[in-house]
Amino acid sequence: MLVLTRKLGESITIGDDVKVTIIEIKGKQVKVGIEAPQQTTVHREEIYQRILEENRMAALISPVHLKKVGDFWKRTKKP
Amino acid sequence: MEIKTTRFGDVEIDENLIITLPEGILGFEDFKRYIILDHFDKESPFKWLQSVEDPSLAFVITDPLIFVPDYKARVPKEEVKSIEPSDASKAIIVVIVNIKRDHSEITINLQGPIVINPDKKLAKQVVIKESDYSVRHIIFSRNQKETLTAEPSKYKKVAKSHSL
Repeated sequence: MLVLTRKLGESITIGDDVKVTIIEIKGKQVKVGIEAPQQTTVHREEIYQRILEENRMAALISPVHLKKVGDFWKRTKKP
Repeated sequence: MEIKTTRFGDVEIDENLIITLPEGILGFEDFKRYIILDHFDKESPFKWLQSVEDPSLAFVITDPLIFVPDYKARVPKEEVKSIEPSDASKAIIVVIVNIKRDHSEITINLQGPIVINPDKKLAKQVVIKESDYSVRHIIFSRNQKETLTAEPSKYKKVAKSHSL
């Protein structure tokens, strides 16, 4: 991993069109500004990872699982 | 055309109904083309998003409004640029369903919905930023049966209006 030290207000450029700027430093929190082209998606790592995990788990569901779920559904429908 | 699926065997599908996700589903970026299949039970609020390219790849999806009527996915325009929405109000939003292995819990991913442009048959899984929505919103819990709150009548109405 490339490690760079930056001061408040300084930036890093990645490739031709991505720029990351340190906007605020407050205790343990750092606020960064990201300028990137529209087609570049930027996510907080943990949200991205969580959705990835959910997708991977969801892909393992079999019709048997869903059948059981369907039974729950029917039971709720007819009280 | 006929497609092979590991869950449902060979399935005859209408090619015109194939939905393309140019960026794939997060974690499954290699597969772009899917078809929505009914679950065996037509009354079920759940459907399958089956990959046309990989027989073993399928997700259970549902209309989030059935379970969370006030669900609003605020999706920035640039996020869905690749699916060319001409009319945002026409977009169909579905969410991926997860079922705990012991069947004790069913959850839906409200933070990573799939936005479908029905006119162009294009779709994208988007990540909702700054949101209170969970990736694991519980819609059914065995310990708490009343969690599954949606009324079937409401479901039918919503499903119809979304022509899912």
